[in-house]
Amino acid sequence: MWAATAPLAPLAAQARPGVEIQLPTATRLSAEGPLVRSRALLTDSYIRELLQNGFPARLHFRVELWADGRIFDELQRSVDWDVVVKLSALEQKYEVIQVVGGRPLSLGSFTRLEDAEAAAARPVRVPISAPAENRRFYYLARIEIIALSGSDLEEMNRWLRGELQPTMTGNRNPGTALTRGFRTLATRLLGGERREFSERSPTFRPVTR
Amino acid sequence: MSRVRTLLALVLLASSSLAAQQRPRPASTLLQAVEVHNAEGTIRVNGPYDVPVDKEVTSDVAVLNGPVDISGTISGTLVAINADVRLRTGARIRRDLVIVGGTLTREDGVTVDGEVRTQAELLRYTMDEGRIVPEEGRSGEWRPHFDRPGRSRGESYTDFFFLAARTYNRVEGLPILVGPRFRRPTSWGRVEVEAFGVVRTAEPIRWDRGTLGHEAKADLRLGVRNGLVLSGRLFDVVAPVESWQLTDTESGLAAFLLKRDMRDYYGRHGWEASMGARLGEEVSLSAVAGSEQWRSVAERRPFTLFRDDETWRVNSTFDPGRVDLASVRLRIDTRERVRSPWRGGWFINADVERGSGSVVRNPGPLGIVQPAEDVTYTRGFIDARRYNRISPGTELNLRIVAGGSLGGDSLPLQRRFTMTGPGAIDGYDFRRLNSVEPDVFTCGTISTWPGRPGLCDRIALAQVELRQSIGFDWDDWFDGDAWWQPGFDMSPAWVLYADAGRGWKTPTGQPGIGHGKGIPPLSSFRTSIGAGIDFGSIGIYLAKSVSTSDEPVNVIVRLGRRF
Repeated sequence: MWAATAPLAPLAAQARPGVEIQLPTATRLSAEGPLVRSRALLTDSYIRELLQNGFPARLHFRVELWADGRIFDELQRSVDWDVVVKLSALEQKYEVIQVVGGRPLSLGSFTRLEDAEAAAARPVRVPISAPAENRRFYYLARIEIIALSGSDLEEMNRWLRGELQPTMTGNRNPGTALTRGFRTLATRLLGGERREFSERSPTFRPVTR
Repeated sequence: MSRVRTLLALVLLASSSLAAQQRPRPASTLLQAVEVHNAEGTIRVNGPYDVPVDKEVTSDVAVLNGPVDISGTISGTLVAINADVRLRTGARIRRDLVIVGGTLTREDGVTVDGEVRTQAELLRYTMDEGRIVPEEGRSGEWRPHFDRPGRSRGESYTDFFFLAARTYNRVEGLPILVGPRFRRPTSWGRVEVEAFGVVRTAEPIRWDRGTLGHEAKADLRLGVRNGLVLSGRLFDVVAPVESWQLTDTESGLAAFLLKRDMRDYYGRHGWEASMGARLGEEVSLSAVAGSEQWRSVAERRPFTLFRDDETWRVNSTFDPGRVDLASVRLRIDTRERVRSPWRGGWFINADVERGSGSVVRNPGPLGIVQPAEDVTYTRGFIDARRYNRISPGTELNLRIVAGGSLGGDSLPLQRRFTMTGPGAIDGYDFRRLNSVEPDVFTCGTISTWPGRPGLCDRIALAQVELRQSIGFDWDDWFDGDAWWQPGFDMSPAWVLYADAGRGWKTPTGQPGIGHGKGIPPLSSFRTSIGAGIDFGSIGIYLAKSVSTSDEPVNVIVRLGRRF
């Protein structure tokens, strides 16, 4: 039996976007689920650009527990939750909200994107554990980044309100903002708003006999 | 004396042991954080918190969300919940430092007189008059919720001038829908009303039924999640004869870009009323009754981006007439229900229709005009799919499509089938006549109708595909500047697949095409195999027929999954 018990590395040391998964200690494998967190997702230039253009980013987390089979693996249980990050145009702050089962929990509002990234990347103890059986299991963690939710015009209006107004009244170059905005819009219309990252834990046995 | 000493020693030992038992056990990091936060006299902060140099805070401090930046002194305990803490040189905390769901950055020259306790994972909590209550025993909420009540009720809207469009095609061009719509979720269900005029952009644009139409419907849902649905609809629309092969997007784009419209169309004018039951958004069963006037619609001259000088494939004439229809429709879609491996992963779309009325049969290529004829028929159709995740990133998916006349009645042309082109058997071209083999794709002959409409009374198709995600990292290629990757899934998949199917006419008649009862011999089915890469929004495949060796390889581009 073996399990990854090393602490999750500091974010600053890891620039590549992704998801991390850490198994509980060997004695707790059937008592608690793994720790899962995102890594460097919001600092990715594509997502940052969308956020700065007023489009909210939705990080959809899904963690699955799989039983390792000889031919086909078998999905045992799964959980999911969301983290929504959006830029408040008036306050110029990034709001981070975790949503579980439709219930939101504010993780704070931040002026710096790096702080919002840290909040969005807080480790979550996933409430699914492997049964106390002498079988091989593993966890699969996936994050889907959806830069814009829904396909209606409401999102577009938010972009127009959130992006152009502060630009026109502030110090930013309107031309640059317009170019960026239209580029974002084109990307959106062509369906490039979705990115996905996944990580699989090492295989483990909760009980060995 | 020694006895007294011994007794005293025993009493002291016992009392010290008791004292040790009564001494409060060190609380968990989480409990200590909550206790300090909720205690009277604690300074509570939600958001950024700084203590500058030379400043001393004389009580306990609890910070939610943070970040926390300390250069001065806190004479009590500092608690940070879901917050990162930075202790700068010279910072001092005279009691404990407790961090839940955050990290600690500690510079040199920092003093924490008490204990430093950290818990990595985020704390979920609710607020009760300024006090935090950790969430416990709510793991059920973390399960995937495909079918939340709020979602099934849908959003509320009132639009007096709503504008929408349907699939681009060679009969209508872009059909634009204009008009008011209203939807209001209520405590007992939902009300939805739409009244649209239809304007068709294909030339010639005239004030007639070729350009104008209408579609209105009223929908009443009784029950928020499960319940009854009562619905009524009035329409004068152009509808596809079959739509199971390609998605609307694919059909519309192929027509608009390449002047290749792979559907046939006919006009429907009438009404229908339905009553049904539904279980969430996953299962619905409805009984529908209506009456329609059918008419043929010719292809017109809609704009296309390329090949604009070429002519459109003829939209065949169908059987005009008036029919009364009664049908039962079943729809099951549990593809998103991943938690339940057996109940999840299904898609079934099935209907049985009984029609009776009077139609004028299409004269066919020989042009012998027929008188109006009374028709009665029963027709069934099913598109059943099973999606199996056999390991993370690997799927084995199956699909069966079958349809036809259930009683052997002669179906009107609008209700017949084809088995051809992308989405059906990929290794064979769309409605291309092979003069050597019997045409089991459209069930026509060499001298068939212009446009080669579907003439099959029955069809059967099986598709199987194996798909596996490719461990490919686009970031290595695009170096972070990824804004221009439209439509590309970050984890593409390779796909292997096979299709087998055919159509036939009943009863037997034309050699190789007709067949009586039951399913024709499997050796008469056309088969093809294929392979490709699915990039998410776009997939590119190569398909080769197996049952006809001289058929060339087809290159197929699909938008989204094959099925």
